[in-house]
Amino acid sequence: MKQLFYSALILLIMNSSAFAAEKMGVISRDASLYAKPFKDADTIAELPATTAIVILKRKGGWYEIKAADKQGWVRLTRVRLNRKGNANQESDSGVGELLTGLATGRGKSNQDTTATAVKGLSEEELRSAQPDQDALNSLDSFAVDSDASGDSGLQTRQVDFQETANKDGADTQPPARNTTDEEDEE
Amino acid sequence: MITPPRKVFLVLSLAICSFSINAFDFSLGGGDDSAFGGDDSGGANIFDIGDIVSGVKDISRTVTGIDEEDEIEIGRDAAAVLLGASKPVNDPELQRYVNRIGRWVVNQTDRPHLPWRFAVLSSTAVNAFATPGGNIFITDGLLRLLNSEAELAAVLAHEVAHVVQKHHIKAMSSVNTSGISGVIKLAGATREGRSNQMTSRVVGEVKDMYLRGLDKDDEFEADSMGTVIASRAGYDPFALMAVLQTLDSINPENSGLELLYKTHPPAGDRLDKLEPVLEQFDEPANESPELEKRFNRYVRKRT
Repeated sequence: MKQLFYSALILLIMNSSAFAAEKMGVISRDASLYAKPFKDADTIAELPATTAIVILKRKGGWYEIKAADKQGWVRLTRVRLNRKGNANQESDSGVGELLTGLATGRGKSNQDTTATAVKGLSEEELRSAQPDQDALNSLDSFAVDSDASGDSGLQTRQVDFQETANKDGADTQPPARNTTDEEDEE
Repeated sequence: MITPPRKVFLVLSLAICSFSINAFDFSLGGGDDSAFGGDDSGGANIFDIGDIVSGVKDISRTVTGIDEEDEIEIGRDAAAVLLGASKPVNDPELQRYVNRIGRWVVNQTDRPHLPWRFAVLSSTAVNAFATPGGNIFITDGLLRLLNSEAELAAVLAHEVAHVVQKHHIKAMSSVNTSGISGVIKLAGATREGRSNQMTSRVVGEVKDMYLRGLDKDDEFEADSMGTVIASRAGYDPFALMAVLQTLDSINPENSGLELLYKTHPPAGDRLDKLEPVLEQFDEPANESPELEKRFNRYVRKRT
């Protein structure tokens, strides 16, 4: 069991570097494919929603992608990563599969979802939790003073808060997802 | 010595005093207090001596609702409950690293003076939590899904936004049957009994809230504000969106996500709401290579 856990962890670590290299995704709303990661760069193509893509890398608000025979940049906001765990869709971002293995140890069958191995802060554990004052007090030793500065070369910027826009997206089409997985929550 | 009749008189006058303070409170209602609703039943409670004493002792806070001291106390109680369900990861370097980032993030908000505490909890579930007054937790399960320090900062900033906006206080008082006085009563009871065990009622309230989750719109607001806070701190504004895309790519039936999705809108909905917020950001942030180095050192290269 422990061995399984560690091998899953190693896989997860390996996977995170793989993720940086290549991931599968889909265009969620009609999007322009740009030659460079700038809005005023040349447009290579128009990609309709549901176009399958391979994500090469991310740069700020842009993904460099391949779609069929074309390669270029699209806005991050027009992309959804593929989801794992449905019958018709084999390709995947990888993360879900590993997490599934890690967290549930669940096999092919969907009925196995109850076999959970989540440790800590599951609903049941929260329900039965007893307050732990010692653990709370132990947090003090890691606290950082308010006068601590960013020692990492991070530059603060002036950015204003905004209204949470998009009142139920009247003027936007619903994003597409090329998975048949039913994602109805609750 | 106070003779019995006098004691009764004292209690009665305290009761009247308490009642009038509550009345005063509602005449001021609006602004910040609108969130607390007007369903106070102070009249019914006035003969609860504990209530009266704590009510009178803290006149200032009854005027504005919950004062910061209460907020911090409630938050500490809530944090103790969450820590009862999962312990901090035993990795002091990691914990201090997360506190450094968290502190840098909260310094970009209006409430840097709170006693902010950040911790990685050993839970394999994918989740993060905030409690009032500035306790922020991220599970190891979520931390291991993150790809950069900017993504970590973004998750912390989302939780920080909940604290800055007092979303949990709002959630507690809106459900509590006696409204604002109920929460004050909780805080009072807790503060009086500092040296004793937390009352079971407080523990119950806290658990209910974290099992029920916050208002959906408050989650969207925390995404939006968190994005702004993290970008103020100099991080990539798109990092929270990248985290949500990662979450969105995981099968929602995964048991590691069970509590997260019970208490949060689906990641896809959150992405949709966040999209317009990101329109204002065109330039990628200029992050130094130092960030990746230390993220690798403290987070990635763990066993």
